[in-house]
Order: sequence, then C-alpha cells, then structure tokens
Amino acid sequence: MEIIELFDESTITLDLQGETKDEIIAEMVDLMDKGGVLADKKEYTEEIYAREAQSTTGLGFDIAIPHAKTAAVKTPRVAFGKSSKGFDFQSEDGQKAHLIFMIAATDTDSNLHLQALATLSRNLIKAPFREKLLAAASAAEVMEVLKEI
Amino acid sequence: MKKLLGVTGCPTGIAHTYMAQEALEEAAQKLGAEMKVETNGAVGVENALTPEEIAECDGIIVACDKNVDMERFNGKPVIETSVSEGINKAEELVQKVLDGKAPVRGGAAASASSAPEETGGNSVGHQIYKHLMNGVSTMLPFVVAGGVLTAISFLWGIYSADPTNEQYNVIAATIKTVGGTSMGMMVPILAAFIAQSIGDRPGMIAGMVGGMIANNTGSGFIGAIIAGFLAGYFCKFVIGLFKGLPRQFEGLKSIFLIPIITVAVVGIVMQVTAGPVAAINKAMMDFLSGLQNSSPVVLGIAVGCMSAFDMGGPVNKAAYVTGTTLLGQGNFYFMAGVSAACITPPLIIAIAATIAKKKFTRDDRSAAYVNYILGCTHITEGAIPFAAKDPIRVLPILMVGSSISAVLSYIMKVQVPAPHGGFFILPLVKPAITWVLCILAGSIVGAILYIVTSKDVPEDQR
Repeated sequence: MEIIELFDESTITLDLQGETKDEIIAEMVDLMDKGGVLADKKEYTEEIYAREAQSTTGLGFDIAIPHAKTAAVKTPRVAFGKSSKGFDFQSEDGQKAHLIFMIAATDTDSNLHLQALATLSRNLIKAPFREKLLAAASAAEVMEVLKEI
Repeated sequence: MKKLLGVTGCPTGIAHTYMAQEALEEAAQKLGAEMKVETNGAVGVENALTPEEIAECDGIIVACDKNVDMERFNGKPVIETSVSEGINKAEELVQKVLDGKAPVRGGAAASASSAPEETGGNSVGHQIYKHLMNGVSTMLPFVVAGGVLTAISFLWGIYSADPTNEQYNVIAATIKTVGGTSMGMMVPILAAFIAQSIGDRPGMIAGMVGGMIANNTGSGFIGAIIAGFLAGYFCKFVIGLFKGLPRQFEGLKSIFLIPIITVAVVGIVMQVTAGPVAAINKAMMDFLSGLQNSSPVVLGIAVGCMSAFDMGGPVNKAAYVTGTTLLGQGNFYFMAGVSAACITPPLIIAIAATIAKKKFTRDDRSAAYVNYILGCTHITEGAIPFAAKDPIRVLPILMVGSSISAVLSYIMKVQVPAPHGGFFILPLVKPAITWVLCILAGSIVGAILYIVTSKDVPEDQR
C-alpha cells in the first residue's frame, strides 16, 4: 500500500484555527468526520484522548501525531493539518507545534495500512520532509510532497 | 565499528515505534556505529533481535512505552527509556552507549527463551528450537503452579483428595483439583504456543484445539508437538493462500474462514492419527517403566540423561510425564529418579559456583546462586543459560550428575509420591534424607566435573 493512499485532499487543511490541544483535536476530528472516515465520531475522539492520556503525541520538532486504532474507523486515513501561528499540544520540547497528522487506523488484522503508517512515521523524523510540508501552500502540494516518500 | 541494538515500542504501535526506530538508526549512523532496531508495533514484532546479535552487541537502547522481554538483555549494557526520549534524544542515547556509560543489566546471564543455540543463525534447527521453546516456556508456569499446588495437597496425606479414604480433607481436595487443572493445561498449552510462535494468533487457535485432542486421546506430548507444528505451519500456509483476497474480506477471513479451515484440518488430522501416536507414546512409557523392573542402573542412566539433555524440553518432559503417569498408577519409585534427575542440573551449577568462585564471572555467579532455589523447587530450566554457553562440555556433565542422582534413588528404592515441588514435598518422600543424599551425591560429582573442566575467568570479571 502506498502512503499516498492513506491521504485525501478532503482531509487536509492548511488553516487550523485552534490554539489549544482540545481545540485542535476537535477541529481535526471534525475534518475526519466530514471526510466520511469515521463510523463513530464520539468513540474515535475518546480513543484519541485515551492515547493522549498515556503520553502526549506532541513529539516536539513541530509535529503532533494523535492516533487511534479502533473499530470506530471505517477506512484507514491520515488527516493532515497545518497552523501558521502554531498550537499548544503539550509537546515534549515545550514548543508550539505547527503540523499535525491525525491517524485513524481500522481495527482489523490488515497490516497493510499499518506498514504504510510506519513508513510515514519514519519519514517524519527527517527534517527535509517536514520543511517541505511546512512550505506547501495547498492541499494538492501536500499530496505532492507525500507522493515522494 | 561498534554494534548497537535497539528496541522500540509504544502502546498503539503505529507511529512512535517507527519514528524512534528511524531516529535511533540515523543517530547511530551519524556517530559511526552500526545499529539494528527491533520494532514492537501493531503489526507485531519486526526486525526481531536474535540471541547471537544480543550476544555480540556493544549495548542496547530500549525506548519503549510497553512491556517487552527484557530478560534476554541480562548481562549487557542497557539503557531503558521512553519511546519519546528515543525520538527526541536519540543521539544522546547512542552517544551514552558508545561511551560505555550504559549500566549493565543484572539478573541471570540469559533466559531460556533467548539462550544462544549452537546451531545459531536462522537455520531450520534453530527455528524449530525457538518454536518449541516458546511452547515449553509458556507451559512451564502451568506446570510449576499445578505441580506445587498438587504437592501442597499431599501435605494432608497422599490420599487426602480421595473422598472414600480416611485421609480425605476438603481443603486438600480443593487445592489438588486446582493444581490438577493447571497441570492438565500442559499439553494443550504446549501445542498452542508452539503453533503461536509459527503462525501467530490463528496458529494458536488451531494448535490449542489440536493439543486438547492430543490430551484427550492419549497422544500426549508427542501429539502436542505434532499438533503445534502442524497447526502453525498449516495456518501460515492458509494465510498465504488468502493473501490475494480483497481487503473487504479481511474481517471475514480472520474470524471466520481461517479458524474454521485450520481447526477442521488440524483437528481431524489429530483425531485420525491419535491411535498410532498414542501407541508410540505408550510404547515409550512402557519401555521406561519396563526398564524399572530389569535394571535400576540402566533406568537411572536413561532417566538421568533424558532429564538433563534438554532441561525442560520435550525429552525431559517425556521422562517426566512417564513419571507422573506411573504415579497415577500408584508407582512411586519411578518418580523418585525423575525428580532427582530434574533437581540435579541447577544444583550442579549452584554448587560449582559456591566452591570455585574463580570459574564464574560476577554476574554468572549471582545467577548461579539462584539455581539453589530453582533446583530445590524442581525447575531444571535454571541450568539452561550455563549449558547454552558451552553445550558440548556442560551437557554431558549435567547428564552424568543427573544419572548418578537417579541411579542412586532407584537403588535405594526411594518413593516420591508427588509429581512436582522439589524439596517442598520432602515430608512425603520415603526415605527423605536418603533421597536428598542421592541428589547431593550426583550434584557434587557434577559440580566437581564442571569445575575441573572449566577455565578460570580473568580477575577483573570475578
């Protein structure tokens, strides 16, 4: 499975409004839901918070990756959001994050999308990849960057 | 070039695990070291570290927010930290290990499941050994719990669980039922977890059913091993067959098609072959119990060698199960030799470490002392790490020691009425002191052989 198959322009936003963790999560979940990804929005949100409760997914170096693997997800999807002013995600480095990948994984035995997610995660560590994402000006451009992985 | 290993994992296992892997590998590359990272993600364990790699590496970084098997790293420099530290401070961590600042992890030198095998690598032999040990190590706690509880119930008297006997005691009967149930899980669990090691969860399901059939049809341990491998490899094959199915069928496949097909095939094969396998099993037991009448010396050597040969593996268990079966038939003599032979190997190691401190490194020595406890509780597995380091030399010594203990037990006509429990059950053993002396004799001879044949370790490691 190609990483790009996990993304869709309908679940990419370059204009996040929120400044707090709760606001950002709500915004991203709404985006997911509008994209028709979720079977149960409430349960998905709970799973996201359950994961955050274990430890924040604000990794530092600009990135947050809240994620949940649950039956409340219909199809595997990664929603991407960017905020120019930055938002607080209780990141490890105490800085504001600018990029968010919200991951919705299905609760089946299929490993294909998990493997694709693993590849995506490995790339997030790389600074040039993040810089290209920060520079992207439209959803289409974000998709272009992701295609290159 | 320094070789480092890493383990990463997080609770959900879909993002952090792999980011930490990448971060550690990059950091190692930058600092001029080689690094392999095992990932414990939602897909399962990938890039698993082999015992050889662990033995050879210069240090290990464990960046995990979930439990992973740490025992295998005993005796190596290990840094344990959170997965986010692994992502954010990868370079710092790698540098720390390269500078030799990682603390050495204590505990026994290596655990049963990760003991380096002489066949090494990923050879077929090693694979089979690994699957087998996955079954054996999962089964063991059931045996220990069941055996010790059963032994405790005998404190009320050997017939305390029999309602028609005057020794009957309701507490003892209850404990014995619990213990017996746990012991009864032995065969199905062995099959299930051999299969799980090969074919993951689908394998486990078919393996457990196959193992249960082996249990019920009397094909016992041999049946369980057959069921385990059959179920594991067959599931792998069936999963492979279904690879082409569209993704929508994923759910259907994993909870419907695969279990039905694999359970049916494995179950039917086990049911059909049960007769012949049970016959082999019975022939082996008959052979062993027949030896008892002919010659206590030959029997003692056979039992001693079997018990020490793989220390808790299938050969050991074959002797052990024969003992427990005969116990059920009221033969208390046979078990005396088996128990003595099972108790001896760990005691050999412990006694050797006590007498000759210069033959053991500091870490090995503290691990060796634990063998006193393991030996006294009939857990032969304690000697595995020491035998695994140098099997060609150590195994024969353990076999000699165990044989002496067993032969003496048979000659002295010791009776052991409980299937497990080591020295816990001494009050039930007749004559108890003689039995302990038999075991000590074998253990001391073994310990002396061990000391004579091993080299001194350098001063600074003692």
